[in-house]
Amino acid sequence: MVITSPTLFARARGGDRYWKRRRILALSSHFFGRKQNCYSIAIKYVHRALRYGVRARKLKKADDRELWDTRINAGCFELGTKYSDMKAVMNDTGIALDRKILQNMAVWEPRSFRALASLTKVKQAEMGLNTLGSPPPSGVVTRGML
Amino acid sequence: MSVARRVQQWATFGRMWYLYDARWQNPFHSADKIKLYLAGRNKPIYHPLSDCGDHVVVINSLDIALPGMEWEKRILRKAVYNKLDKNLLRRGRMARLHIFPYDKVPDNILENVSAQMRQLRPVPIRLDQIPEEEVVNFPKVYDWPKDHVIS
Amino acid sequence: MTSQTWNRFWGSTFVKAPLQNGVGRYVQQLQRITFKFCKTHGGSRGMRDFIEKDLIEFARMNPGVVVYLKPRRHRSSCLKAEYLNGGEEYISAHKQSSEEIKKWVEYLRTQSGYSVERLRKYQHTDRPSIQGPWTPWMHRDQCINIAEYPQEELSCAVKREKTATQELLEKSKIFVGVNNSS
Repeated sequence: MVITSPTLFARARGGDRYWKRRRILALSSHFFGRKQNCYSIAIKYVHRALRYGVRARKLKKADDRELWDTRINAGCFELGTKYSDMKAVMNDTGIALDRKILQNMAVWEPRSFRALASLTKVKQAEMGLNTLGSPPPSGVVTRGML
Repeated sequence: MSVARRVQQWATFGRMWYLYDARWQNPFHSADKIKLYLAGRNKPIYHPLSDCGDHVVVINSLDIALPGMEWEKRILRKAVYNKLDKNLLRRGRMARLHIFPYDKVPDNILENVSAQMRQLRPVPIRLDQIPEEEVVNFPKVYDWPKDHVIS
Repeated sequence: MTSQTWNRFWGSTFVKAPLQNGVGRYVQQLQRITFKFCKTHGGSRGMRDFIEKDLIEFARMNPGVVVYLKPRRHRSSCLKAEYLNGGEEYISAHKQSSEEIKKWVEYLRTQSGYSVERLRKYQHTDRPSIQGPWTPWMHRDQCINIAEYPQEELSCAVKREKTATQELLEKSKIFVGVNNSS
């Protein structure tokens, strides 16, 4: 990044009005056409861009959540279970993992995620959910068995 | 990037080739399933900006089972096309769908196939495909009444 | 403010240390520090105090750092730090007390020389995964590696319930068994 301000400061000793406009034009410097350099046009688009930025900060959270849901569901389907079932089982067993952590596990620690999926299958059979499904996997010990 | 991590990258983003037998399957429900694979939504590494979709090879597309009079309206390729996300990636994802009318697949495609997708519903067996002996020996549940006329 | 605008002017980066500095050994990144001050003006008074009281101690504690003193007439005082990676930092010390300057010197001494930017993540790891990242083959039965395609068993839908025909056949078998035994 090239810092132009000190150079400009030395070269053009404008008044407040000049620096006020520099502040807006700095934000429009990556726009296309006259909205880049003409102040009266630029300020309209800078304000619009800032409004979009405000809105996007909210949307980002929803987008992230949607992506995490897609990923967790993909991981669950591959292991023969569903995220809704996993959620029910985790709620019942007191495993407090949120979507962000779960999707991270599905990608980076897949074997732990598989353990979680097996637990879901065993536990939901105990809870009486989805009894029509395939028999639960062996090798999982839950508190209900002890 | 070291050699090991490069290989890891190839493994994680490797494209799978799935075989799907469309015999006796509803094409619209099948399209719902196939579109996930074409878009890469079957993987936990899915991201809308990364090109992680798989190839799907559909065989026996002539033997699909259509509900009602849908025969006259649509076919499997169109069903998948309609179900995919409506964006610029749609054509590229369709290019990863290979449909064959019978179970004959060219060798250069079949050698890529690395896994098979499960069908959505069991394939029914027609009466004329069941061996004669089994039909004859099937337990008789009830007798027709004496005065019942079978035309 | 959108991230594009932010990155255009301020940039963003990840947590990093030059050559894993601090892991096993520490290499002083600050190479040269220049104290610029005036010998007469009041704005440089704190700087003069610092030079009288603390500078010798600082130079003794940090033998790897070159210390320059640059008196210049009638100009405000400042600190200039230069780092091993070519980075530079300038800090105005105008009208600052010697305690404040001491803190700034400590700040410059512990910097890496990278410019200060917004961090996209507050943590970094060279090994993001212990178990190895997910691959398409990780959770699969290994039989698919040697399977001949197309294969009926891999393709057929999962059977959840018995069909009526199967039930009937099973019941008739039991019935026949009971009849035979009696």
